[in-house]
Amino acid sequence: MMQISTPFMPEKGVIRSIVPMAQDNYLFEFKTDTDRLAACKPGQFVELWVPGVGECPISVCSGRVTESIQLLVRRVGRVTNALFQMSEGDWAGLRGPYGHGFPVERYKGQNLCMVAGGLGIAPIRSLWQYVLDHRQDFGKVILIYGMRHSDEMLFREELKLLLQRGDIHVFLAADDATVCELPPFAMQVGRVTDMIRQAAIDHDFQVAICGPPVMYKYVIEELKAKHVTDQNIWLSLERQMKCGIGKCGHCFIGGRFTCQAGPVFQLADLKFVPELIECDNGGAQ
Amino acid sequence: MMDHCFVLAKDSFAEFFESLSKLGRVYAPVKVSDQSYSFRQVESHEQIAFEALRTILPPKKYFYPTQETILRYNDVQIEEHKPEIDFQILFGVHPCDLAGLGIMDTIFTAGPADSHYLNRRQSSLIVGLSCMPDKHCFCQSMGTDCPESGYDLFLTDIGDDYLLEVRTAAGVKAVDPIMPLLRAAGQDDESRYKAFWSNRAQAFTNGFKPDNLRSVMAMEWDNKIWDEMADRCLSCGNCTPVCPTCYCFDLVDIASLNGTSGERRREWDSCQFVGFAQVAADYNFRPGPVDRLKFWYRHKLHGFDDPFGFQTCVGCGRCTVSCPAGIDDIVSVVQALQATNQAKTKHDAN
Amino acid sequence: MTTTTEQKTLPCIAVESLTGCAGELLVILDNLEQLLPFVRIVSFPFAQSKNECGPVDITFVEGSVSQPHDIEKLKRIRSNSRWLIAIGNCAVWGCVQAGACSRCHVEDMLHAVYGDESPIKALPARPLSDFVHVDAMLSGCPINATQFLSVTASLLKDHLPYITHKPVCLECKLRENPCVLIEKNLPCLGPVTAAGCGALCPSLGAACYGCWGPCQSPQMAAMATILQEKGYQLDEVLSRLQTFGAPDTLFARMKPDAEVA
Repeated sequence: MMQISTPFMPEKGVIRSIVPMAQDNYLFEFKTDTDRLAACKPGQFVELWVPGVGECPISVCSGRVTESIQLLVRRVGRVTNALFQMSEGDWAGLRGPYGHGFPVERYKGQNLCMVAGGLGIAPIRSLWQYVLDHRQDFGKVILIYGMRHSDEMLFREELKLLLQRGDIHVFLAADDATVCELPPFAMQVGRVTDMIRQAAIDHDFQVAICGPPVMYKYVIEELKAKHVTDQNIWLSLERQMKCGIGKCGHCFIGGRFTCQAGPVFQLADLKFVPELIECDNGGAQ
Repeated sequence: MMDHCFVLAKDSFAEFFESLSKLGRVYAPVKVSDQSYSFRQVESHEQIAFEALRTILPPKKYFYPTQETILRYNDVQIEEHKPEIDFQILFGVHPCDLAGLGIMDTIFTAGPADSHYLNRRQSSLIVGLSCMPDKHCFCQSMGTDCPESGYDLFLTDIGDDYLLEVRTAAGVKAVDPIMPLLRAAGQDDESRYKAFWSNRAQAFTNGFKPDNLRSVMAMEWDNKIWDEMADRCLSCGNCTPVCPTCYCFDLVDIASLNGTSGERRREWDSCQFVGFAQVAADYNFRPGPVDRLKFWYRHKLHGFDDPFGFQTCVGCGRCTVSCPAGIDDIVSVVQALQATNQAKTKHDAN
Repeated sequence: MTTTTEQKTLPCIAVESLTGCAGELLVILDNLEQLLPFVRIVSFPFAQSKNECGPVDITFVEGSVSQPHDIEKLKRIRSNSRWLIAIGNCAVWGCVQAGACSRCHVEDMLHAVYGDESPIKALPARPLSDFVHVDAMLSGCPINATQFLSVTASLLKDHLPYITHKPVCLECKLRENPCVLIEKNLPCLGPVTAAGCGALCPSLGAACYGCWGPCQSPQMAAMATILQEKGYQLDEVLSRLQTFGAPDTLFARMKPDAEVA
């Protein structure tokens, strides 16, 4: 009898570098022996495993995966706490990439707005890296990034470079701000929704969104006011994607596994999904 | 005729069982209490409870153990755990459970396929057995009352004999040693077979009109019936392990004291437990019993959207009899929802 | 035998007790052989006579806080320990002394037992987390050895241990027991009690009486309703639910006429 192999086998990812970002967020760079992860697309995720502790789904944060992969990790749970105890040269397990990321092929030839809230910047970064690497394929490009406090800003240095480029319009907002290294005009006190109002977005924009669950509803409202259609709004959803391969059931939403059908969904595709607290669908059918 | 049909006299069942047990371990329903049955290993045909309708756990446990080691690791390598898989024979699997296995097969076969389930599934022989419904059976409503696939052999009780359908190559091989005991089914046998299934179809006392079930489930998401039921829900999770199609699991690490080795294990989980849909930083997508209860109901009765597109209830009635709170009476709930739905339509029309 | 230098490099653990039956200590004692190669036990007054009171990596504490000196001892343990782990129902929930005894006044009980001149001072029993920060709680009555070893393994790596609080019903169903709540109408508390015992009582045909304390997010109101429908009186049900220290807050959603002690 021919036996097939387990789909749960991680490959070893050796930690190449650990860069502290703001507060409890570190950027980990892993190097693997195979090229399984090299095919990562913006918005996809991997299962990160710390042996003896467990796995957790982490968005791919780099848009130009070559021989290494970058993951932005916030210390919030058992697995991430254990990861934060590791050093360069140690290994963790990586499985993936899984899910449908942002449909970059569909975005080509069009204007694109990226909206990130808090840690949602991680998958959005993979998207902007891809877009800027293929800049000529896209129309106008806008990046909106909101956070609670300016101290929480992630990828500060990279954003500085983006601000200097003329081919991407960057809006940064914080509910509360202290002294900021960035030019003062770039950072505003406010929310992502205020930035959307300011930005020159109209109906012919594709919009990619990732942020905390409570953010989506307000962002969608603002986009609707700008006549962006449901077909052009793309949400990256967070659920407990435990197995990543459409088996364990933890990420099930509506009639699908988020880990396989998502994590990036077209808003039009989520229209009739109950339990979607991000869109306030509730029972609206 | 695609299936090869034979007649096995009930008097010859002992020999038939002997022959099966030569192929591997035989598991069949046995009586474990006044009201309950369980699939257990049987050494003799006399242990088999032929009258059993639903066992406490469905036969999925033989392909998808309640807990199993997936891989082992130490500080240098990660190794898949490949257990020795013995050939197993499941005897007495009823149509609802065959349908349940079909659904499990679909989920675990979808890419990337689950080797742990499939390797066991491929190393087994399924012998189906006909049954007469009791007051909790509603497989007819779910369209899973007639076995169409998922078995190697199927026995229909036609009085003093069984009509034995041989469906697969493995089935052909399994009956080969007992061919002398069998005779080809004649016209009379086929009539008895048809009469059995026709009588059985009339015997259902429980059920609902399934046609618009998916739509009704979608429409009634906000029905207050869910809150009323959730007030009684214990979140004990009994409805999920007993379900032939509940596949959800948890993956956990078990570390060794030496600090370098350990294993990764898979265990059955339940969507009814509070932590099921909780993500990092303690955000819970289904915090209350009502959120979890109606999620489960929807998954069973509305089921999958693309790519599978099927409902995941097979009408076995296990949840109904296993719920301490009596809120998993699927038939009553569906009837109530459908009635509400009709009332609503009427009201809207006026 | 390990040499002195090797011993120094091993993580130090301590096993301390407050007011409890020492059941947890017996479990640890039973599994000491497995632990010994990897740890140095600096304090375990129940099992050894030479005990140090210096800083330790992990302290397991059993028993509830029931006397004034328990509080002092607990605070001292906390300040000496990198990880403080509550083990057993007493330490996690307060167990019988907090649950079943919560309906009587401590003074009345002291008087009944010791007469007019009580030699001891007693407080209403409470779990450790009411007094100090507890890093992890492993309930049990007594604790499950496998869980204890697995928790210890995590702690030795400086990892937060994984402890589930799923209900006893899960373990019971996985053992494929006939349900005693449904089939025998016994007042089984499996649905609201934390698993880990392997559904010991229901496996033997008896009702779970909740000795491991509540599971995560127990549905106490629904449990009470269902037991009342089976003919059990509300006060009887409440007393059963609270025997092993389930805190009052878990009963907040109960009907207003319910007498919550």
